[in-house]
Amino acid sequence: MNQDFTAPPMGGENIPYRDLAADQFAVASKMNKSVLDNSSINISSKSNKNNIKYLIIAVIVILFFILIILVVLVLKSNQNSVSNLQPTPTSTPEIILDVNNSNLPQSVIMQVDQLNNDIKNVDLQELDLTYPNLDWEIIY
Amino acid sequence: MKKIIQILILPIICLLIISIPRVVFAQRQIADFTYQYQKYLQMYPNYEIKRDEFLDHKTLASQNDAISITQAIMIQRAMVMKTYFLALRYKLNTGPSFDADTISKLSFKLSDADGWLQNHIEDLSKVKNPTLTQLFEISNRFEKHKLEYSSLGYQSIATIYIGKMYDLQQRIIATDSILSQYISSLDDSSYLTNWLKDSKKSSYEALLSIRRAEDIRDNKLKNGTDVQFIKQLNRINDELENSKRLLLQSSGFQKEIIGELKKNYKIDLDVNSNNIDNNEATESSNINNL
Repeated sequence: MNQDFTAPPMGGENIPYRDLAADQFAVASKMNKSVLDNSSINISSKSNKNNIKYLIIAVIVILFFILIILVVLVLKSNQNSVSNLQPTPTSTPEIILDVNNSNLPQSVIMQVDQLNNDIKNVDLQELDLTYPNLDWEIIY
Repeated sequence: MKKIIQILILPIICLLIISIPRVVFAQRQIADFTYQYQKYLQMYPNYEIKRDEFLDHKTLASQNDAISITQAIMIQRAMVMKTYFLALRYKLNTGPSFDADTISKLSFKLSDADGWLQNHIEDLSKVKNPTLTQLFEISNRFEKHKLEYSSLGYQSIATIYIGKMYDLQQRIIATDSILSQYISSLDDSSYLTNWLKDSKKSSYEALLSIRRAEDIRDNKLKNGTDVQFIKQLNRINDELENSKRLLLQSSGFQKEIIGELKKNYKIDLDVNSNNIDNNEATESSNINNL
């Protein structure tokens, strides 16, 4: 038992308390230090380098795909933005053609046929989306 | 090396996972609505039987049966409307759009209705051992929206139809423009010019018909009863059928013109033309899917 840290005597004598002893730290030896440094730092630095490499590659690949997606989205949005209605049938042509080469592109022929078919087959009934016939008065 | 391959494959898989549902989503919305509506139609006769049994016998057992089936049919009814509005909203946002303002207004209203219906379904599901009076009270809250929902539904359907016809009419105009370039470079093109004028005239009349349909949607589908809404939708359909007839007429002139142009021009089967064909084919398949 350390007598210095016991409670003061009940009689009221003025006995000074001893200062607290300074904390003692365990110091690693030079040998231990060097062993620790060599083993842990070497392994961790190598694996860190590898991880960083893979991370950089992954980030580059992901950014590349995001860039492609953005380009596709921008192109698509430009295509869909053609929404101006012409009050008269004389609108500006969408495709500028080289007529002077005296060739009629197959695409124009196909376009006319396709348009004709689309008009014939347009669905103006939408049976899938007929307004549902429900009971709107549930009461006895 | 293996890790690099894994890293390369992962984003591709992620992209596929992101893109596939968008393709499947369209059909899922309509399939969901169809499924919920079929379920409602199957449940309804059972509800009528249980209700009539309770009204005839007034026993405690028949009352309990009537309460449980009434609660179930009310939930199902709200589910039908919820999935219907979801399907309409999807159709509106994925179809040809020539009136972005109307589409965004309708989408907002449909989304709002969807939120209300979700809360209504949750309220109904939460109620434990309700009385019939409680259920009728909750049902009344739903039924107050009847005309609002009918108007919203019919306006949305009309907008989908009108969008389709606008799209076709715009394509006719674009084709007229292309054909006019070939006609103007011919020496003797007077009769072809006349056919082109006829085609343009028909497509313009079709446009007028589509605009009349728009007017009916904007003025007659906002207030009224169910029967009136159905009548107005029929009028819109008549106008759009008329525009379809006129566009077919216009397309007929274009086909005639192409027939004549074939005699004067060599047909060019170039790579670009094939690409355009493919685009056209996808466009048309999109139209058919709508």
